[in-house]
Amino acid sequence: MTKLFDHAKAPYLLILPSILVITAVAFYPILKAAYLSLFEINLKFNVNNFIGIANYFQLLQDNSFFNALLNTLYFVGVSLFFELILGLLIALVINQPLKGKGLVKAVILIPWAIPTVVSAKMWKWIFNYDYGILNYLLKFLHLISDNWNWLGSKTFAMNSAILAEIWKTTPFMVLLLFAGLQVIPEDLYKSAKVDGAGVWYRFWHITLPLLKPTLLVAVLFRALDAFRVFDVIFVLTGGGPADTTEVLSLYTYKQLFSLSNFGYGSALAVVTFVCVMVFSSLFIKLFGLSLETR
Amino acid sequence: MRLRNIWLYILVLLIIFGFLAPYLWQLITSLTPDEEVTKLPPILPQKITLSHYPEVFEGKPFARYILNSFVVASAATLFSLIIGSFCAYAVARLKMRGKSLILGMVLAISMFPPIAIVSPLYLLLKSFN
Repeated sequence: MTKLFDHAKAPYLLILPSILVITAVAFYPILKAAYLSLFEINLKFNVNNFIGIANYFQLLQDNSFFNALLNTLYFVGVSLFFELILGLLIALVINQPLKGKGLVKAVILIPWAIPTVVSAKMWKWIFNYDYGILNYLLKFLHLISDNWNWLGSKTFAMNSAILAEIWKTTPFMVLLLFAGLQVIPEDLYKSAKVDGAGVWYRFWHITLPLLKPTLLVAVLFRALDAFRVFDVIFVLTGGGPADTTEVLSLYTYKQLFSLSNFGYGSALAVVTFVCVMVFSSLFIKLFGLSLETR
Repeated sequence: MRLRNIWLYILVLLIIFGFLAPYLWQLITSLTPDEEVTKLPPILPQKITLSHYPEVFEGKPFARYILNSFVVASAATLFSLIIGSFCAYAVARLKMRGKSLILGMVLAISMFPPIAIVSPLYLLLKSFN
């Protein structure tokens, strides 16, 4: 009788479909983008020349690129900071014995489940200079005397976009951290209580250390996600005013589709990828994250 | 103990409100007649209109859009569920070499900015015309 299930080969057979799909939809485009980045391609003017790494030299002298890079880093840093604090707080709250906890969790997840384009449109309406509810409420509460130009001023635009992002992605943080909190054994808290440890002590010496692996993974995931931000900015400000909200993905998009510079745009994409790659490898090495246990 | 509970529920209500408020405002706007949309105050419209909802279906095949989304979502989910579960089972339960490599690969791909994948795909589709 022939063996139906060959134990030595089975694993490779099982992962084969995934590998094929990943190759087709991810590896091929990535390599293709790297290849394209070596050309000067402009679809408008029908240019297609091999120029080697000239695109990358151009990139090093491109102020718009560095502007976009810094904006992206600001966006990642600020949104991650608030998401982490808010996410942890909310996770701690819903980890308490509550009635209707399931409902609370479901409600909190709504912003995360809605497509970014839709929620960004919603925020655009809220931030609206003349008719936005935000200006109205703040004036009503006498916190501001004149309407603030949330999306149109250089000082506010990026922070407004960050606010929309925080609102939308904090649920994801809550979800991850809540899962991490539930794994912490209840006994630890009980015995700490018996020993007379206060709430703060228990938080710093039990919750935080045991939550650390989850926290690190959450930070990594969110940082990578935020680094690729596109939709929120695209809808809210389109990169303006005066490029103060221009982020890497948006700049790449503009090079690719508004200017039809496929070679240069691809070089930008490759650099973005490399940045993310380096950041996450460093992060994983630095904090000793193990992929296998995840 | 009771007081603490009350504070806890107040906190929970605040959290829920924080996440729902933007939707609430969108809902209110959707029920506001056009001529009142650009008027603040009042926050709540004088007259409530339901006319914006049937308008969604007018002039464009909106039902078709819903169907399209549904088809795309279920096909993609089904497909990735089948393929993914094979792969996950192999990586998690069976003995094989290169597990970290596979997981690292999956992570690396999820890092790639979608905008970068777009350009080759665009050129590809363009070549198909």
